[in-house]
Amino acid sequence: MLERKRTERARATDTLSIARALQDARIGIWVWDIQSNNVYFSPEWKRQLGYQDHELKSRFGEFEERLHPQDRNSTLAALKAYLEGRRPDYEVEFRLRHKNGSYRWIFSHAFVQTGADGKPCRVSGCHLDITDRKDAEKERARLLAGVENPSLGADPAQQQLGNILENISDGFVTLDKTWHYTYINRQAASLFGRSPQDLIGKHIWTEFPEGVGQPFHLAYEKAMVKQIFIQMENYYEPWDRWFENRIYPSPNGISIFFHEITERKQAEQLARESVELLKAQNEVLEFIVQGTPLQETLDFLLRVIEAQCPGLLCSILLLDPEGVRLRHGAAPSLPESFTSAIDGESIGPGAGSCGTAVFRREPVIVEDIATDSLWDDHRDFALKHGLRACWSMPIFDEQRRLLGTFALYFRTPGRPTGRHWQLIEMATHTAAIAIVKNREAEALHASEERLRLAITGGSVGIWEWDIAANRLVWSDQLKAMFGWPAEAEDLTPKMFMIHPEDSLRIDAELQRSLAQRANYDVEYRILRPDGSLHWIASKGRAEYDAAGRPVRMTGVALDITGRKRAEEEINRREAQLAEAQRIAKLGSYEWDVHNNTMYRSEELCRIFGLLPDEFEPTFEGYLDRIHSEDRTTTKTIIEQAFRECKPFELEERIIRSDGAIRLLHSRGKWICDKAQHPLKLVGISQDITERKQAEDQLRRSEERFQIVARATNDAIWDWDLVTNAVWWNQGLTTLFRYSAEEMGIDASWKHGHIHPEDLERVESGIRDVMNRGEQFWSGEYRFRRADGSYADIFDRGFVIYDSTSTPVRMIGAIADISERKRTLEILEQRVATRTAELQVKNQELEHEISRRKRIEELLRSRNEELKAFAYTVSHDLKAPLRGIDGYARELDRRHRQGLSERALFCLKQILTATHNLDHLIEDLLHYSRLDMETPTDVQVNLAQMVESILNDRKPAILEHNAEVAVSLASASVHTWERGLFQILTNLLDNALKYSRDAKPPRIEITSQDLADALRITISDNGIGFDMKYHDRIFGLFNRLVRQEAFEGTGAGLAIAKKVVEKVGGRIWAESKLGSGAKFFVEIPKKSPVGSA
Amino acid sequence: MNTWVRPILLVEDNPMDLDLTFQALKEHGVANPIVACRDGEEALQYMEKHHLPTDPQVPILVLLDLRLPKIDGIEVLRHARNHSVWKQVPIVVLTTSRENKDIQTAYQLGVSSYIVKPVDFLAFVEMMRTIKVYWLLTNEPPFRENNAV
Repeated sequence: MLERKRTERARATDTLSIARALQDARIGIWVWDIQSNNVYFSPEWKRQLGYQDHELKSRFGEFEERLHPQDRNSTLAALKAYLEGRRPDYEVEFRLRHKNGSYRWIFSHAFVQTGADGKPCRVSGCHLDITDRKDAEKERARLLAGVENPSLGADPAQQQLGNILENISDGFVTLDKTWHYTYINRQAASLFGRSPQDLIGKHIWTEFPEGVGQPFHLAYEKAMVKQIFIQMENYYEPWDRWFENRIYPSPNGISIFFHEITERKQAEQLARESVELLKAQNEVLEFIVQGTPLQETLDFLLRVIEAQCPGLLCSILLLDPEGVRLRHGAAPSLPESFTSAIDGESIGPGAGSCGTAVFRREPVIVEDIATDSLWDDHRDFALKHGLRACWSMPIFDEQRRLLGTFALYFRTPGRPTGRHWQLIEMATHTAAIAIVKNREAEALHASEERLRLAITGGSVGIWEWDIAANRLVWSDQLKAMFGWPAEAEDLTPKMFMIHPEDSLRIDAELQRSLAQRANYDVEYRILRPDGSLHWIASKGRAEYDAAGRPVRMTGVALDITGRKRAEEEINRREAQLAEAQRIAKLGSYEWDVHNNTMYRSEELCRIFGLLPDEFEPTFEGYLDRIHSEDRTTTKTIIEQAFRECKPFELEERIIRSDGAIRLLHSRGKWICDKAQHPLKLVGISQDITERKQAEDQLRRSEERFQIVARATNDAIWDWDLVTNAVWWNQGLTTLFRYSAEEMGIDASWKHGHIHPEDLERVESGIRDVMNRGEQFWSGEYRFRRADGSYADIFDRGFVIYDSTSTPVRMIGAIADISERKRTLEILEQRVATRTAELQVKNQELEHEISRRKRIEELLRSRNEELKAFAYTVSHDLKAPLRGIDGYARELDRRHRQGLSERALFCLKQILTATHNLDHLIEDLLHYSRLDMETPTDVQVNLAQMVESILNDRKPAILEHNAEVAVSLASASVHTWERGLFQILTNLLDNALKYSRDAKPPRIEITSQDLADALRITISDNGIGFDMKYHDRIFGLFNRLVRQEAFEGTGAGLAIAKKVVEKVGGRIWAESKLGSGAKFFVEIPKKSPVGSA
Repeated sequence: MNTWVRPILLVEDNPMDLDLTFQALKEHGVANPIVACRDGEEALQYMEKHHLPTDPQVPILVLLDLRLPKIDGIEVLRHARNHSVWKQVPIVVLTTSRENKDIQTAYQLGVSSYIVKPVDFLAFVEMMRTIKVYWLLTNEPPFRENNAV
């Protein structure tokens, strides 16, 4: 519809410009639409009859009614004949009644257009007012009749006639029967360019030989012979002029009125041509409207143009979508070699005519290709095809966008005339319409195609809802979509089988759409009769009446189940992709250059330790997070890749948001447009920190291995079990003297050098280890040296298995143990000897030990015996003592009467002796008990011990006014507490006893901390003793004083000594008789536990 | 049965010791009858014979010497403390031995008291007085239900 309007508008415009031209030439236009019987009369048409534009209506009657009665029939008959095809053309003269009542002679030329049914549908024509001419003719004829007829008042009439003849604008000549000029008027003479006197009496054909054979010659002859009136127009080529000849026969010959009608002819021609042009254009427009392919339309257009202008070769070139090159459009007459060469010509300042025309956006006229510099590059080519002139016109659309060029070629040089410009205007205008329409048609076609596919494919349903009647009309596709058969009628909304969860939403959307007068757009689920669930998208629009009420709603519905599933699928895929990225620690990004926005995948954000919205979506934001040392490098690489438009690959360190430094491997690619301008940067990054660390570790361990392999003396071998190749380090050379060339590189060489006797053992040993899946093998065997001798070697290997537990590699080291073996043998020999010796010694020792053991046993048993003995003795001895004491006491207490002094004295003695014996036995027991006891060590505080002893002796001390000075400070010693207690008690008792007669008794107790012992000194100012008895006093029961002087058994010091010896200390004394005594005890600091 | 009726059992082999003990007890006016066993065997037999708490011959106190012929005092003590009735009878070891071993063993077997006999008779007498006061007067004897209050 749109292009039709446009075509019509164009047509109107063109018509207008032509009409104006025609108006200037005083040519009236009429267009008769046969079907409606409407006729368009141009303003000039109406003016010719004296009417203003609005005074006449557009109906055929206006013309028909004004026809002169004498001309009506013939004119209408001619028209009818022309319409019915019985006349080839329509050129008639008739009279039409002027507004003022007079008649005007009109010349009419028309052409008919047929419709699609082949019947005439439209007639277009032009009117030319020829009344003046006709009057002149009449006048001539009348005059002519007067000339021939001498009955008229000859002289005055002839004079008058002569005057008239001389003054008319026509040329007038008469010829006699012998073809000689008899009269020539001034005008004719002027036209001939000859004087009348010159021509009168001359033979016409002798004077104008070039006229022989011309149409007017034949007409003259005909008129002469047949004596008939002939009127004709002819083109006199020698003079390039048109004349109208009126040949009147006379008895004497013929008279000819002729005048130049070149201008009229030209005007007629122009009119004809214009009409032709209009006709042609209409035809082209019809082509366009009918949707004829562009190529055909343009071809037809160009042919039409070429037909209008002989010698013209034209072409149309179309601008390609990119606006860079011109492609061949149509060129019906140009040679194909020329057009195919031009095809694809690029636009530019010096690109021939067409290319330049497009470039400059204005016509480019090249008068002569041979000389114009624009054709420098293509001159020879064009000249070869005989082309001399080339005029190129750019073709614009309504928005002044360039569509292509229209080019006119001629084989002779020249510049365009007005006629040419007319053609050009029509051609470019029409071509523009054709091209634009074609583009639109293609676009429309494509979208129509899509729509058609959609609809006919059954996936688009159309619905219409008559709201007032609440009636639904559904297309068949829609019914099918819902699972209803096509025949289903009287559908109501209730029958939709909508999913209950969605129906509320649909209602709400419907209400909203109607209330807001907005489009209705909703997606919902339906249950088909077969039970399947589908997703439907429905869109619609309501139409409202004048009161604003909705009356109707129309819309489309689409089954989007597939899309919904696809959406789910996409979501799933995207989740999978994100998961895959997460697993592979691979992140992806896309940087839109123009908007400077970055898209980042989840995994990329995770790699950077950021939340998606924390990550600045700009290139700078990304760069900021790169380690400062790597930033410049990264930027440079990416920029370089951009300049060369190549992909890039790099490693960079980034600093995560938590401060950790991670190593990334990034790959990216620039996506550029046709002009190499960057559009996007896409890439992936992988966190390879761990992998790099692992690689580093591997490298380091590999280095270490290399160092070790070099440093060690062992021959290290690496056996690839798959390829059977063996690698050796230089140990093979140093140990076995093989040069590099002699070194064998496969396992068979190695095994070949094993001593034959050992080979089986070695190979089976390795096999066993591998079969059992164990890792470690070792073995000793002999290996052949380079000189042929065998070395004793110790070989150990480590088997490496792959993931299927197949052994793939074995690495080992060979140590030359030949030396060692020898040394070992010697050593073993020595060991054997020593062992023998040792064994002998051992036996001796054992004997000794058992002997000692026996002695120990003996000692122990003796000890035990002694213990028991002492125990028994003391108890058994005490029993009778008790008896003695008991009875003596009884005597003393109960039976005193009758006893003499002496007897009582005897009793007292008995009692004393008993007590003494008792003490002795006690001491003896005590002594033996000490002997048997095993000392235990504790940390003893000396001061406390001494104080407790002295406390017990308080009565005695007070009684004798003894002064006891204790200065022990913090002396303490780790020793046998009971033993020490015994020692100090005994020494103190002695000190007190033997100094009790001193006045006052003075006792001093001090201690001295020695390096390895604690020395305690107890000194008194008692009776002292002679040092020659020093050793004796420490003997058991040895006394130096008498019983009656000092009581005691003499066991105290002996006991003290026994204890001291038991703790590994010393006891001695210093004294002077009568000057007191000093007793020293040394307790060792680390007291050895005495053996039992 | 009144406490003063139940005997004191002396397990002692030395006649002199026996006599002197007897004298000491008498000096303190101990009214309880005194029964003597001269060796361990006799003591065991006595225990066998008087094995019920209702038997009036079950002593109120046993004075036990450790050095006995045939079966020594430790055995007697063991036997007594294994007996359901005799384990409840106060047994005081009265012996010359101050051996730790003997003391330990006696207490482990559950002796009620361990006294070392002094040689000095006066001291011995004084000791007996203490024994009498403590074990016969102060101490609450077993089998009270069998004693008439």
